Amino acid sequence: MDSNSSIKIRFSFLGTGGELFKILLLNWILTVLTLGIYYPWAKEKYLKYLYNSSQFNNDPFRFHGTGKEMFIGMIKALVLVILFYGIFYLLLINGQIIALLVFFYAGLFFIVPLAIHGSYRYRLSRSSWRNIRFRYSGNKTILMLNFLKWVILTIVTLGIYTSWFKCNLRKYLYDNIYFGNVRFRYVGNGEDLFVINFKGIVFSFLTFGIYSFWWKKDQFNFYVNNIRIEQDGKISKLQSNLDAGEVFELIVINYLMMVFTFGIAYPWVVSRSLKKLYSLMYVVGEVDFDGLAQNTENYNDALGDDVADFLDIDFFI
Amino acid sequence: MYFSKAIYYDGLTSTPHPVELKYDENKNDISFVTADKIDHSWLLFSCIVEIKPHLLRISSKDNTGQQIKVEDLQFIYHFNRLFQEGKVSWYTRLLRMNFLKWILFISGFMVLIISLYMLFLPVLSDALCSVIPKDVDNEIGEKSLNSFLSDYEIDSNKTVVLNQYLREIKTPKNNKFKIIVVKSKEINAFALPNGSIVIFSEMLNKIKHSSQLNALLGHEISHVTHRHSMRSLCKNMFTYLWISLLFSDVSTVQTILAENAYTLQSLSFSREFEKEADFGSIDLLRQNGLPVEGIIELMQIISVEQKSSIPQFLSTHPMGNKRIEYNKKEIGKLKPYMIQEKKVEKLNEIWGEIQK
Repeated sequence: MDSNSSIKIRFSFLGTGGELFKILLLNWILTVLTLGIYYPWAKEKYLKYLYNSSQFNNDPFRFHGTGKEMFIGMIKALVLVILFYGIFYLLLINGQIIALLVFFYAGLFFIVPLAIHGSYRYRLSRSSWRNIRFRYSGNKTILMLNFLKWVILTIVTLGIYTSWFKCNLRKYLYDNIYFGNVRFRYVGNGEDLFVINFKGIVFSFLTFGIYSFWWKKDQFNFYVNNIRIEQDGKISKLQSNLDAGEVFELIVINYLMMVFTFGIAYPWVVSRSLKKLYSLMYVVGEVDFDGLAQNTENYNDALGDDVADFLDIDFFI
Repeated sequence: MYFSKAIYYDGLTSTPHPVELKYDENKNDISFVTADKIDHSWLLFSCIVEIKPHLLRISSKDNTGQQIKVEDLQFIYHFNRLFQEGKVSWYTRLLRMNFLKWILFISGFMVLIISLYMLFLPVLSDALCSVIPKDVDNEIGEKSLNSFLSDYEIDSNKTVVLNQYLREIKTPKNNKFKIIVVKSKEINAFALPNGSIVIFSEMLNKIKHSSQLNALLGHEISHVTHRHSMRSLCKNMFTYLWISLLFSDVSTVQTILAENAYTLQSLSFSREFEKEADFGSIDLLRQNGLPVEGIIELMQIISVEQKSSIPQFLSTHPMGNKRIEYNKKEIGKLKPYMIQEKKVEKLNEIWGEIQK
């Protein structure tokens, strides 16, 4: 191990609630005035601000996506959604309940992994740090088949498999993320997450919900601390040391801010949450982040990202 | 001319290259030499410049991803003071508005939204309502009636006599009206879009004269002939669409706020419709040659009952005094007409039956 291995490379969020408020307010006004057409451009501005304000080792991330790409994606997603609901209501009107259920669940099993895949592929190909682009190389057919398998296992085990489902999905997604000549790995396993969730459910019940702050902390740290970054055999780890008090503070204060301002404090809630979470995260290990080399793949289809938007699936990393 | 140490990123690797940066305020450009002895000169008009209090970032616009980062505070201060910005997008110009301009901008937007809502919403919803066939009114009315009656007991005797009463009144031809009396301590009556008029037994107890009953029937009949239920549904639908457009993609709390706004607005529409139904009742009674004064008496009865008083802005029905006032005014405008004494007598006779 070289001397770099103990250096913590930190994340930070430099955005402010005030700046974010102006962007969200302007986006809202423009989206309303254009009857929603401006939405993809509004999303572009919002994402660009969030990326630009998020720093790793004192340099910001960048979002290179454009409103035009996301607008085309939105139109395609809209056609898909209309088609889906059209067939759904046609079957409903004709009273073909069995066909309807089969169609609905088959459609959902098809669309959700497709949306996740598309979202990762588009969003990561449009993200960079020091102009080194990210890349997602997952295969949608494999993801869809795995997704189906995990859903069936979750149903058969009456939900017990959920922890393994979450870990498997993250593992598939992260193992296919590249960042220049660096690749990501996810090493969390279902057993550990199951123990966290089992403990979480039992103790939250016994303590009338008080334990849920510890549960949330364990989940967040579990997701983050199992991310690895590899470069030619060298490994770095992503680390988070969020504690229950911080979870409590974030949840309660954010909730109060939202309630007492009728939601107007939303931009401040976003910025303070990101500031807090980023400040607790760092990368430690042997990977040389000053020695990353560019990857040139270009991918401009935002369909998955927009389908994910319609399904209200947040891009998660 | 200003100089500073800076970090250069070539866009191909993440390696930071320390360089000596020169800023020429007259040419409005920056220049530096990299370790491989290559001269770089960037015209600031064709660069993206981001200035933060402790950081200056200059990126080339040519998609090569090259960047310069400066952390020298003195240099940043002079640069910020002197550099000439290239073309600024309209979006950035809006974001940079000062406080007063923001207030004006938001006020203008609110005025526009409210005016569009007030002007177009009634027109749109009435246009939608006019293309919906009458059969839909009947179907909705029938379904609502069945679901309502499952919770109440019908007073069959009074229902029969009241329908006999109703037959004596000339009603608009394109609707079939029927009355259902339900046993209830509540003082209420309402009409459904299929022409069913539901009267609560306690309401009948409060009515002291046939002219008051005439006014009540006229009012409910007008609700049906003016398609108030369907128009309310259309207006509510457009209001809902409008509000979801305004509040889409924002936090849940705002959505809850939006839902409340939607309810209050629909109440205001209802008051408008109540007034229209009152005037419709006056018109119907006049056409039937019946006295209209019963309307004022009916309003007084309702007014007494409403004294437990809900503030007007929350009530679906216009408040007593105000309502009595505008009805008196409307009655005052009526030209003299012949009272059909025989019809009045016949109605009084049936009314006697009902009271038994």
